[in-house]
Amino acid sequence: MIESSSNEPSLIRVEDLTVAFGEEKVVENLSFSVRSGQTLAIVGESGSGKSVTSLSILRLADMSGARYLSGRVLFQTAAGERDLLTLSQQDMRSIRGKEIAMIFQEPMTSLNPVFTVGDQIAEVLQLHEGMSRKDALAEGVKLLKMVRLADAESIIGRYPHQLSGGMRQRVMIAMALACRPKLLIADEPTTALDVTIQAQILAILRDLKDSLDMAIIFITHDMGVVAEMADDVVVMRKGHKVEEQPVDAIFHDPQHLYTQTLLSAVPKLGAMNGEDFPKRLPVAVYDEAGARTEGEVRVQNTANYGVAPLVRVEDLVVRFNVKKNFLGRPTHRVHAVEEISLDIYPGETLALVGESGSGKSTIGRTIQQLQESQAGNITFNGKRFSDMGKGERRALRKKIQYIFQDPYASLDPRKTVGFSIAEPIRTHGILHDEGLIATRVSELLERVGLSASHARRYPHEFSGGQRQRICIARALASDPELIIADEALSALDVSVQAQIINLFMDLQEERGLSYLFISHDMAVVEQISHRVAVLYLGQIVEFGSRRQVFENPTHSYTRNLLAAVPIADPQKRVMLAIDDTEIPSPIRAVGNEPEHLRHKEIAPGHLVAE
Amino acid sequence: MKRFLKNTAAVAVIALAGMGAFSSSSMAAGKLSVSVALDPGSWDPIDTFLVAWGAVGSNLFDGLTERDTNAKLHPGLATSWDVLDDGVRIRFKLREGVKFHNGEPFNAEAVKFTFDRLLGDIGAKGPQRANYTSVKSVEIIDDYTVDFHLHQPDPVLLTKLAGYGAMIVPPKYIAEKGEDYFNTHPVGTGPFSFVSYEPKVDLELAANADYWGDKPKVSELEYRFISELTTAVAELQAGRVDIVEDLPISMLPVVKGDGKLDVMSTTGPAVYGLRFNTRDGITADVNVRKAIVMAVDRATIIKSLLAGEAEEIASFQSSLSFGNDPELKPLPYNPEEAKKLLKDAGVAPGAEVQIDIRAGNPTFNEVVQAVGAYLQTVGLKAVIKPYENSVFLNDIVPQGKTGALFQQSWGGWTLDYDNTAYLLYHTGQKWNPYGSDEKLNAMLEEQRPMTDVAKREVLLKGIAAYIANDVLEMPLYSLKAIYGVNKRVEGFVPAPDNRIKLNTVSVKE
Amino acid sequence: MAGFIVKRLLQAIFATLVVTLLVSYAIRMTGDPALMLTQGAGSITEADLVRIREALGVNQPFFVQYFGFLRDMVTFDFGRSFLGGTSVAVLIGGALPSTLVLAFWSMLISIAFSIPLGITAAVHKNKALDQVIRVISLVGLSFPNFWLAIMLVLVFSITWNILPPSGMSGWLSYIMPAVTMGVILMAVNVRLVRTTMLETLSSQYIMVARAKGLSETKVLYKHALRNCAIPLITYMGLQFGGLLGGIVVIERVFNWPGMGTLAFDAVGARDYPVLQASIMVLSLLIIIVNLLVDIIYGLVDPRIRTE
Repeated sequence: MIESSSNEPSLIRVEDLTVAFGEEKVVENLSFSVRSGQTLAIVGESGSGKSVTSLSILRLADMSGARYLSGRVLFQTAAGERDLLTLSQQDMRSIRGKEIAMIFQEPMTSLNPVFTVGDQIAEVLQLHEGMSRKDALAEGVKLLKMVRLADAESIIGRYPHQLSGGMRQRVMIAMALACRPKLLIADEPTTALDVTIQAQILAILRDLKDSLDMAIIFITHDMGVVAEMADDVVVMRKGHKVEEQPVDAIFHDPQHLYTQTLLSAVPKLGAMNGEDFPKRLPVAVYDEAGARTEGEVRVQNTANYGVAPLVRVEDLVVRFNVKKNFLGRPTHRVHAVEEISLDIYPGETLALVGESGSGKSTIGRTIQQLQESQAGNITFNGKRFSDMGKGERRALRKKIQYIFQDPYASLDPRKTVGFSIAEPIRTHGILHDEGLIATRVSELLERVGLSASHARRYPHEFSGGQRQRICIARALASDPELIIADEALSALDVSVQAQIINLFMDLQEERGLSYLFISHDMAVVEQISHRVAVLYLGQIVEFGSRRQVFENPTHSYTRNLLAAVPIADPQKRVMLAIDDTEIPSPIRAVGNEPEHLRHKEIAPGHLVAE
Repeated sequence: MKRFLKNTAAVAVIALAGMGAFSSSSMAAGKLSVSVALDPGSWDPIDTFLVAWGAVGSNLFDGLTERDTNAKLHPGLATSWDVLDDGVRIRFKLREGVKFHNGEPFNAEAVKFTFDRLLGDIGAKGPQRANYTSVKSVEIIDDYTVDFHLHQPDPVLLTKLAGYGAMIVPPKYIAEKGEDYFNTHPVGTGPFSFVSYEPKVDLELAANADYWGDKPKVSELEYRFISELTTAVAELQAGRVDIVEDLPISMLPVVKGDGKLDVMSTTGPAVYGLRFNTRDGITADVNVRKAIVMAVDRATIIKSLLAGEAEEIASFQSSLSFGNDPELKPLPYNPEEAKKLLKDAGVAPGAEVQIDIRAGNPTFNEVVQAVGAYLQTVGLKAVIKPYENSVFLNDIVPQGKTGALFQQSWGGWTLDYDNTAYLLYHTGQKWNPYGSDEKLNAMLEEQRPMTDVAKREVLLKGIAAYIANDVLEMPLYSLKAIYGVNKRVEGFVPAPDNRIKLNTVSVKE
Repeated sequence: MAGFIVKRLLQAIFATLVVTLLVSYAIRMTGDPALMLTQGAGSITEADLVRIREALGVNQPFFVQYFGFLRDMVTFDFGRSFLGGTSVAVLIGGALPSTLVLAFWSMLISIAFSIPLGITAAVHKNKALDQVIRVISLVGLSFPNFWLAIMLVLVFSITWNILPPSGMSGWLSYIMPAVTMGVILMAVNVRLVRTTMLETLSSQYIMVARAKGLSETKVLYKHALRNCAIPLITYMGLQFGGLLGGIVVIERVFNWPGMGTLAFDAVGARDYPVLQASIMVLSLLIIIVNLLVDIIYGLVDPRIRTE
């Protein structure tokens, strides 16, 4: 139970809430309460029922067919306490947007693309405050300024597609706060944003909560964000509340085994200080059988720097035309990659980190030959791409495999996973005998921790983590030398993520694989990589061993990036001086070429842009 | 909307015109509506051979001669004629007091103008001139007498003068208004005069109260262009069209089943048959050809597949045709005899017989299927091969690339056996890819210039008998001209060739 | 935008050239207009045919004829029909409005019914109402259009005799052709509206709109429909070509004096000038409609307008 620090009654009290879709109960006997001015974080992994809880409070879950089997949601409305579960949709409409507002995970899709920002904000004010359109727009400008959008007067007339993700999320916040709601529900509001932008949004929310004296229910899977934001924490698992404590207690004295497991699975930035090499760590597992750790600690000293690099990238330039004049000549280009050079050695994990527009994915795609380059060379096993014939280049696809962020989108839903895994074997003609192929598929499935019998099933029958294992099995099928993992862990729950990290490391140990590990998650990068390249607007700003970059970050951008990462420890909560600048765009007019950075070697192998 | 206004205006004009016609002729009343398959696009007599034109043209224009529904010739704009100088000169006495619809008088000048135009530069652009090339010149004797000078005698000319290109046109009107205007605003001497024409939609005519012959009994005559026969029949059933021409056999039950409608039919010019490849294969043997003909029960085909709307034929002409011999009987249906003939000719059982036909005529297609089935019963294996029309007409028949049998259908409006026989049986003709018979050539050439009608008829009958004896073909049937008619129409007599003059027709209100 | 339109017009001209070239060539493969014109004549000789071909100008090599046609088009001389010598411009001037009016009413009927039905189906996804609407749409889809036309004629013209079975005369005559065409388009569009609506309704901004406290009507007809309009307009633009194709059949059944009837008769008579010109006008029409769609698209979708 939350200790009552004042006598003020709770703004909202959820009591014994059970929500079902069809026969399936997705939330069971859930209770919690929030007081004004407080932030309650609801934490849980996918399937914990945390989002359904928030939609149930607003009764928006009704539209998807939710039924409320038990409980009350008592809310102090302007007209006194009401049980929201008993109100009609009609009555709920006067509460939604007015007394309880909500912001959502995907800022890119939360705003209606065909209406201006101003129209969408004004709509709420016209509806609930009875303002004229003119007054509502004027108020809208004030609200935009409140969320620290510099150019509010111009932004009010713009369309969502003309704004960046961070700006859109600010617009969403402005819209949600338009009627000064007493309660704000924020469902993973920063998950899709870059870390520096996430830090800005979190700071804005914190400030506004104080200045408007509202309560926040903050739904997240990210323990770092919880540590930054929450006063109290509810931990949910499979529809049940497993623990509820003030934030300090959750982090320092977790009571439930599940909470402990969850916390131990979170990669903590700085946890690897003092280590020269990446390290395989035991994984905390919590399931029906209880909590335990699996696997061993092992230093991942697999990189072989004594031989020639497996891949050498020299002065690579990749640009895309984005705007053309009516003669069809390009006027604007994305400068995705600007003169990047790097090597990947056998058995090495090289990490590319950076935010949106840094060009990290483009480098991966160019090495995989999914993207043409405009200048520079890529060498594989000592041979340049440009010197290879068509057949040789096709054979190279076998040696370089790609794993994407969304394992569901990269598997054909109409094919069995066995078929998908066997596909590279067939395309590259590695095996011809169907019996041998089947055996190989079984081996691969077992190697990635699934069973041979899974081969006959379809992708939708698997969880996200299992699907990513299938993608890894498919990548291994052609016996590659390099695997490019492009945000391959980003969509996974932390506990699953830890397991996949270990799988990656085990495979590297066994097969001497090289990885190009593309990620925005600094903590994961710290654990998994041998060397790290920090990218900013298509150029490398800092390059060095894991230890050099994380323990001695030298370039200001690297420092910002590390500072913006929320630390999963409420006592280390740092109030960042908010830098409200946006990440600059890599789009430039033709002729306006970017200046190329020059690098200084401050220690052997540690390069920093001047 | 604009379109709608335009239509409304057109309706108003027609209504006014109708009232005008009504006041000038107390006899004429009511409106008759006829569906026509195709819009000929021009109403100038020299521009088209479409039967659609013929149907309308006979009511707008007159020729010097006129043919009745029994295919007999009568005086038209000429009251009498004499064939002179061994058939190379014909003198016509013209009808006096006849006026074109625009008031222009009909006289020898108009006849000379009509034929000078037809045989001159303007006629050269159209398809009609070819039918009248035997005419050398027209000479005016006096206002109401003309002499036609011919290159050589032309026994069919008098028939040809009853229709199409020989329809008399008004010289002053054409000179004043021009050829283009005349195409879409025709003026003739016929029982109905032009009111309005909307391309692809309809042609409206009004009764000509001053007509020299039987005065029209309806005040308005409308021709609607409806290319889809099912649509035309729907219009007939809805009572918005009174007469539909060329009803297909498949639609007969629908029309017969409707109490408001009648089916009327008469012997038509269209004849259908299968001709033999007399040059190669088993059909080079006359006895095999005979056997094939005898294997097919033509009477049963007519009764069951053609609803009786056809007549058996012994030569390739209908009973209306000049030269048809009612005494000439078709080979009898006798499968036993056929089998025997085939056996004697040494034809192995199961021998293949290819039948080439034109695609797109479902009725004839069914008939050929039946023929194939009959051939099966005498041990022949029929293979039916349909061709696209123009391929069949250009590449298969004239090039002699047919199978053992091939379709021949003919529908000459002149109803003279010569027209068919010469093109089908004389050596070197397009439609005669296989045969070359000196004796037959001589017979065909001999009758051509002959002006003695009776003698020529004897010769034509001889030709038909000669061909039947040599079994150059399997004559199947002559199809009747079938009309769907609303019962409110009175006095309608079906014509063999769609060219129905509607001045004697009236409608019950 | 101006540059875009110029580019599209150039593409349009090129496409039209290709289409007319193919059609002109194909029609010449299938038959001789001189033969078609004289098929009722008894005694036509080869010399007569040569003379007629010369008069029609079809004795010259194909490319000479085709470039002649193009030259005439540039000077807006549409030529004359082989059948009776009527000016092709007059024929098209008469037929084009009839077709456009029919297309307009068909589209209107289809839109007027498919949008409310499609939205209703989407809102009641997988419930009884949705099933009913989907079954209706499926039935509509499985009608061959000529069959539906004939059924309507049987019922309304022959059994009840309240509508004219064919022709274009007064507003009553518009009903059956427009309904036939409209029903078939509607069947397709209901499904399209339903699918795009479902997709739109699952968008997060719909959830956001609801979380704002907006009424369902506003959520559906303001926030969702406007977004559905984008794929719908695109599809309906593409549909226009198919619509014209369908109109050829409908016009024939209802004896509608439009472009379909004109082109169909021209094929039958090997009337090259009429056929070439009508195909050109039809393909230009499709291209113009698609150009309009692109422009409307820009008006509806700010993502395109502000590029």
